[in-house]
Order: sequence, then structure tokens, then C-alpha cells
Amino acid sequence: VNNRVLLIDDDIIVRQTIANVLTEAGYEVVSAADGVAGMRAYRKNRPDLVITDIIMPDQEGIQTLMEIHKVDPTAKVIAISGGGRTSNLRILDVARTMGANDTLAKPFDLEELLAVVRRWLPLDGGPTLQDSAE
Amino acid sequence: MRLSTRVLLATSLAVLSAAAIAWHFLLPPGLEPLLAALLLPGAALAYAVQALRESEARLRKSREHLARAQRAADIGSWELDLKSRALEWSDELFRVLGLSREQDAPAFERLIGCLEEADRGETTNWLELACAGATVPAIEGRLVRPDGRERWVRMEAAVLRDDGGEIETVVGTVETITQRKLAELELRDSQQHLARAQRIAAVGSFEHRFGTLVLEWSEESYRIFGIAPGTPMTVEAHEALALEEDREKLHETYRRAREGRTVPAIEYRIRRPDGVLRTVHRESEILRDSAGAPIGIIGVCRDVTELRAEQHRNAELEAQLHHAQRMEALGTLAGGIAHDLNNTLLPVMVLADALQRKLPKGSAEAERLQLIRQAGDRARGLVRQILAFSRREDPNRAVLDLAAVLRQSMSLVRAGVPTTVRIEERIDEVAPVLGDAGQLHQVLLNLIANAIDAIGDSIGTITLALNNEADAPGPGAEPGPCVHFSVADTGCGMDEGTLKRIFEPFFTTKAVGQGTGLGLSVVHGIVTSHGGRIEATSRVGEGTRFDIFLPALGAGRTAPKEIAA
Repeated sequence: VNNRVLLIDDDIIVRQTIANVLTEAGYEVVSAADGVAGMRAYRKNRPDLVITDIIMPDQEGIQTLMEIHKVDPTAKVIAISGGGRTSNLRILDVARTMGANDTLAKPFDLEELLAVVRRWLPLDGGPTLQDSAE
Repeated sequence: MRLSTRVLLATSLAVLSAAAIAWHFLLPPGLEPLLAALLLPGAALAYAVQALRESEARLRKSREHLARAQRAADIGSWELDLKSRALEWSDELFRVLGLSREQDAPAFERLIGCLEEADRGETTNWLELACAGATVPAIEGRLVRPDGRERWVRMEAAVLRDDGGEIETVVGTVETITQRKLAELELRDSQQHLARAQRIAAVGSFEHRFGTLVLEWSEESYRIFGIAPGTPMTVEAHEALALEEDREKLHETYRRAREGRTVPAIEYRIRRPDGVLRTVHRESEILRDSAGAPIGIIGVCRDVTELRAEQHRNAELEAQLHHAQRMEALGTLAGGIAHDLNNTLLPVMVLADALQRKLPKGSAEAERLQLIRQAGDRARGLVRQILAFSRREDPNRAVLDLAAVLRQSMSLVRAGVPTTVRIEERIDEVAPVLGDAGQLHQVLLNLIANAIDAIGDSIGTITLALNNEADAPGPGAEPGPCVHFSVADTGCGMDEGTLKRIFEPFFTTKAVGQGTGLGLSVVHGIVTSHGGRIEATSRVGEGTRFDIFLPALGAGRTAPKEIAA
């Protein structure tokens, strides 16, 4: 099944939260705390979708995004950002220009997250959180 | 009367007297004609010689006396006999002119020749008039002495008349006045030097003696006060020039000086006769007599209007810079906080959602989670606000009609305005601006909410005004035409200390829980990010007014293409 998601974010709470809900939604989630670890995990696991933070201490997201596309130009990447020194929207604009398929500004809610993830990696016949709630 | 006439007269008298006496007492009748023929001429001659000698001695004495006096006074004289046209010069005149009796004969041409070229014409005319018997004033001239030294002389002339009133002689004096003249010139130079120094430094001086009304001013003082030099000035007239609120301060300096107490430097505003307001700085000192008693006041004054205006502008710029630096620092801080808060809020929102979906709708747990979710939403809103003031959130720019935006906002606001508050709208049609409708809407809501709070439970009015302005005022705004929007309330107002801080993030006068202290800092951030300027004016008990100036599009200003597209 193509359901493997690589999640790169330096904030452990963010990693745990997203992994928690995506796993429950039927995805297999692999996590990495920075761009370097993220690239290692990418080569090793060949995920179907990458969710990467943009502003990170070691290797920041835009560079990671470009490296992933060097390995696989068709790789699907969602950029997320909490903003800060630079405007959140501008960071995400840049990420989109640099090849991110979609963007999410933190803090997003569950529905926004699932909608974006499902758009790029639909789970055929798999259960969704929406379904389980009903 | 001339000497020769007197001698002749005395001689004749003596001869006649002697002849009469001899005739009567001494001679026998037969001898009388013979003796008379022998004696009379001899006696008369002896008497005449004696009288002449005495007269000559007196004359010599008088001449010597006159010469000594002329020498002592440096005054030479001349005398012109109009009948004989004979011209006599005193010794001293030769000396004054640097000539000698041995080599030079008295002549007016010679005198004129001793003068400097420039003075010759005038002196010639003057002499002609004097010698024609006219009354002439004294004149001055410069002598060119053979030794090359410049000498100043003063010349006077007068006529002497005979008994019949006919002009007999013209007498004149030539007086050396070099010392006096040089002192005079030096004084004039020194006065001009002082006046020039005062003009360059824009410093005027004054002096007043107690017991008089007079206030003496230098030329520069007259200029500072805008009054024609030479106009008589009094202490009272001077005080009348001062603005009423500064008059006492000025009056006090005179009072203190009279009492012998040190007079401090003061600054006071004046209204010049032409209506112009100026600020004058004045420093004074007490004048004392030899016993130390105060007898007057002396000092200098300076027009410091431009200086003070400049200092005021600098202080304002400094305050603005300080404010900008503060905002920048807070913006950086806020950016960092926002990033972490965004990350922290993520699990609150996402996991609350996830849990809620697992719980039956309407259950107590689901409701509690709903509250957590709402708190998360509110926190997210706050973070967005923080970022808005720190300009980290990009506005969504479009060409806007501010009048339309305001009308739209007002239709939303009206329902929430208490009935005790009247809203007055003076909205003109204005030039378009480039802006974010949502953000400008937020600006209006914030300002109106503050205005309503300021009015509180009392009855009041909020006035909204919108109009075009030809030029944005002051620094901080882009120069050029702008749209001016203002919100004024008749509420409680603020003191200066509060007014200074209202645009600072987290500064609030509201009770804990009633305001975040972000409203006005957000407003400030939005206006600044639009290239505009916001000003607040307020008076305690009278109300507050916010003026916003946004750059107008058109007339040299167009929307950047990438934004308009």
C-alpha cells in the first residue's frame, strides 16, 4: 500500500501530534528532527509523501525540499511553517515556488491537515478519521 | 579800529592841547605867532612818539599773547581786509599748515593746496562764501603735510563790521583736531564693529537705569524685536511686546535687579509689531554704583526661535526613532514568540479535534474539548495580531476605495454601538489607496471600539471623517497626496504619559481581561505597513482623536504592477 509519509520537523510536539493523527488516519509515518536526518530517512524509506517544516536549525526546509527533488523530481512534498522572523505566508510562497506541492501555515486544525494530506496521498478504501467519528 | 588811526588821533589831540595851553599862559602877545611856529610841532611830535611806543609795546604783548594762545590751542588764524584785499596769517597758521613765513606768502590758494584733493573743492567754495560775507558753518578737512602725516583741521570764519555796519574784515581760524577726530573715528569703528558682531551673532544688547523709563537698545535688539532702530524704547513698551503668559517672567527680572538679587537667564515669547511670534533668550547683569547699590540692569538678548524649533524637531525625530527601534525590537521578539506559539498551538488544535471526533456529540467531554479548541482558535488569532503589528504578516494589497470600505465596516459596527453614543460621519469621496481591506477594516473596528470604551457609560459622540489631503504631514509617511481618515471621540481622554505609550504592544489602560493591549499596536503596524502615518491627540476629560494618513494612488503614484495583477 502506498501510505508512507515522511515527517520532518524540529519540534517534537509537532512530530508526535502529526504522526499520531496520520497514523490513526491509516498512514505509516516516519519522522525526522532535521533536514539531514530527513534526507537519510528519505533515501532509506522512499516515502510516498513528505511533510517538511521550513525553518529548522540544522538544515532548513527549502534546501531539504530541493535535495528530495534531486533524488526524485516527482516526489510530493507539503511544506509547513510556523513563521517567525519572516512572514509565514512569504516562507510558504517561497516553498511553493521551489516546488512544494502544497503548504500549511501552523497552527492548522485537523481538518485542514487531513484535507491536504489526502489530496496528495489518498488511501483507497482505507478508513479515515472522519469515518471513525461517525 | 586800526592802530594807525588811533595813533593819529592821539597825536592830533596832544598837539592841539599843548598848543592851546602854551598860547594862553606862556607867550607875550607879540611873540605868540613866532613861538607857536617854533614849539608846537616839536612838542606834538614828542608826545606822539611816546604814545606810539606805548601802543606798540601793548600791541606786541597782545600779539605774543595771542601767538602763545594759538600755539597752545593748535589754532591758526587769518585775516582778510576786504578793502585792501590784504591777507594776514598768524604764525600758528603757518605752523598748522606745515609752512613757513620765510618761504611762503599768505594766500588762500596755498591753504587749499595743503588740503587733500578730496577736500579742496568744498573748502574753496566755503572760503568764497565766507569772504563774500556770508555766515558759514564750520567745516572739517584733512591736511596733507609735507611729512605725509594726516592731520584733521576744523575751519571757522566770521566777519567784522565797521561802525557803519559795513563788512571791514573777514577773520578765520584753522584748528587742528586730529586727536579728537581720530578718537571719533576709532569710536565709530568700534561701534560699527560691535554692531556687526551683534548682527552676525544675532545678539542684541540693552541697558536700563533705574529711576528712568528709558530702555536703551542696540541696533540688533531693535532688529530682534522688529522695531525701527532709534524708536524710543521703555521698559513698559518692552514688556508689552512679550506674550501675556511670559510677561511676568520678564517683569520679574527688573524687579530682582532693582532688589539687587541675581537675575537668571530667561526665555520669553514676543509678538513683534508685524505679528510674528519669536522666542527671545535674555541674560542680564545688575549695574551697581561704587558703593555696590544697584543702579540699573544690562544684558544681551538673542532670538532663539529657529534654534528651539530645530531642537524640538530633533527631539521629535529622536522620539520617533526610539519608538521605531522599540517596535523593531518588539517585532523581533514577537516573531520568535509567534513561531514557538504556532508550534505549541498545533497539538492543542489538532488533538482536540481528533479526540472530539471520537466522542459522542453533545457529551460533556466533547463540550470540554470544544472549549479547548476555542481557546486554541483565540490563541491563534492573538498570534496573528502580534505578527500583524510586527509587520511579519503580508497584507493582501488591492486598490481600494476607502470610503466604501468605511461604509461597509460601519454597517457592521452600528449594531454594537450603545444608544448613548452618537456616530457622526463626514465621509468625502477620496482618491483610491493601495491597501488590505481586511486590515483597514480591523483598524476602524479597533479605533471605534476604543472610542466607545473611552465614552463609557456617559453620553458622547464619535466623529468619523474622511477626506483628501494635498500632502502627508511630518516624517514617517510617504510624501505626496494622501487620504486622511480620523476618528474622534468625546470620551475621557488620556494624559500625556499614556498618550506616548498607546502604540506600544501590550500597553493597555483597560482592566485585566478586558483588553490585550494589542489593538492600537496592531493599528499602528497596519498603518505603517501601508506606508502611512498615524497620530493621536488627546486631552483628559475632552476626548481623543486619531488621524491616519495613507498615501493616495494616482497623481504620480501608481499601484506597483506585481501587486495590482
